[in-house]
Amino acid sequence: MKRAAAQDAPVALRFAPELARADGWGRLTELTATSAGVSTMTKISRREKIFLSFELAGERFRDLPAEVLWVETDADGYNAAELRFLDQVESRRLSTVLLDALSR
Amino acid sequence: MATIALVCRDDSDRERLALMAGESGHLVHGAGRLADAVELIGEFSPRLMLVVDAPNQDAEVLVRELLRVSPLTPVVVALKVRDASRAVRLMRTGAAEVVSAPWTREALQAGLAKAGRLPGTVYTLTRTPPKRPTAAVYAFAALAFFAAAFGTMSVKRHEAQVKAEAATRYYWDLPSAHPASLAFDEGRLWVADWFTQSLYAYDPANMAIKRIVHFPDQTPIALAFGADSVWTASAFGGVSRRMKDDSLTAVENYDRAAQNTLGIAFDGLYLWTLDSKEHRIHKHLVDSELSEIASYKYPGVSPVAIVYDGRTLWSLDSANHELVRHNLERPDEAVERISLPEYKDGRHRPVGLAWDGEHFWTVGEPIPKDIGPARVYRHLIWGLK
Repeated sequence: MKRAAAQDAPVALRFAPELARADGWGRLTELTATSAGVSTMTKISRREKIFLSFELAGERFRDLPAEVLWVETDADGYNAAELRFLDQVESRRLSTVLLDALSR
Repeated sequence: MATIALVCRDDSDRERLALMAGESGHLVHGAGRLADAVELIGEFSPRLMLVVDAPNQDAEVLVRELLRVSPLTPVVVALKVRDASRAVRLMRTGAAEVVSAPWTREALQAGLAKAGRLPGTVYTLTRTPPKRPTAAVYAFAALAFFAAAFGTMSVKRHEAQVKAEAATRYYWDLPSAHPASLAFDEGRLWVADWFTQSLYAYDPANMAIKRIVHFPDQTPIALAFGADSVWTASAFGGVSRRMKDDSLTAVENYDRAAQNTLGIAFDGLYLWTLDSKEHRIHKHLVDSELSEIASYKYPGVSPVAIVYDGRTLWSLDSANHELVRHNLERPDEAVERISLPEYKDGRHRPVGLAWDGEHFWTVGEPIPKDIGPARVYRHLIWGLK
């Protein structure tokens, strides 16, 4: 079951403190319980660990750890990436919220 | 080249942004205040709006007001101070894109290009009528007709080949990726999800979720329905018999019965369980202990699900990708084996089986795990006796 929203949801990107990188932002192009598609101007690379924060159906998800599976640059210079969530507990919560939103 | 309305209170910032946007090929009209920007919109109908978020100019207010005036014109915000949470808040307010400080021509160009390309609802007053077909189209149509006429024989031959295969496939992808079991009851297809510890009831016509039942203290991995009860097996061992109420309340828990159960079937009198460790089918009497009265070796490789079709037992062998029909008197005897070619591509592993009275349904978990959704198949099996 798949549904599209009117607009891509915004997402904040945070990096591990030891990297001393400024936070970034972008949009979620796709969201599942275990993975996310992101479009962002922020430079990211494969296998990098990033913390995602976003909102879905009124529920806040803060600093979900995710690993970059692949990334490529589109025609506008944005990075389109697919990330895999690493926190199973939060994935489960996301799964519940997704199912609730999809079934409405 | 797009016309852009630039709203910025500071003259030097406005000049700088206008120069950068102009170098990117845009025609820029500047305004210092919201009221001036509204006049610009009326006069020039800009393709995009660019506003600056600064201490003396709240972009959140500007975005809201500009979208109220011109709801279909994307608004891009240029931050004077880099702040990710502010950027996300502005996007939630309605900003199409947010460009960070320090401003560069490349970043601004990318942000304006992306905002101008964002997909959105197409609004139109009237529907454009289709073009009349040209002579070339008519000629092509005639050729296609003759090709179809001569191709009928080959199509019929292909249809005969398809019918000779084991099953015709229909499938749906589910929103989750962790199915454990499948069952059919009163017009609903039920899926047990071990990750969310929930049962989901789907409408088999369109796979819309109709009901969710969550078990906070159990991980259901096998499921079967009787006339007035529901049977579940838990990942940590044990079987429960439940009422068919809203929360499927457990009325009896058989904690010591049927360990290592991956599949359950109820034939109205006996409960049948699949032992995944010993690869056996156990027959139980529905008494206070769920006593095992018989046990049979499974006639296959990897049993994962079992179902009663009203006459006999069928099981799902996940290693061989096949349905196995059992002799009800001697379930260790396979009467029929039906291959499931849907699983030949190796993208899913079959884990659940259901019977709706006419068709078999199976559910497969993605391979590798957690990459992609689970998939439900409805099988039309030719020549099913």
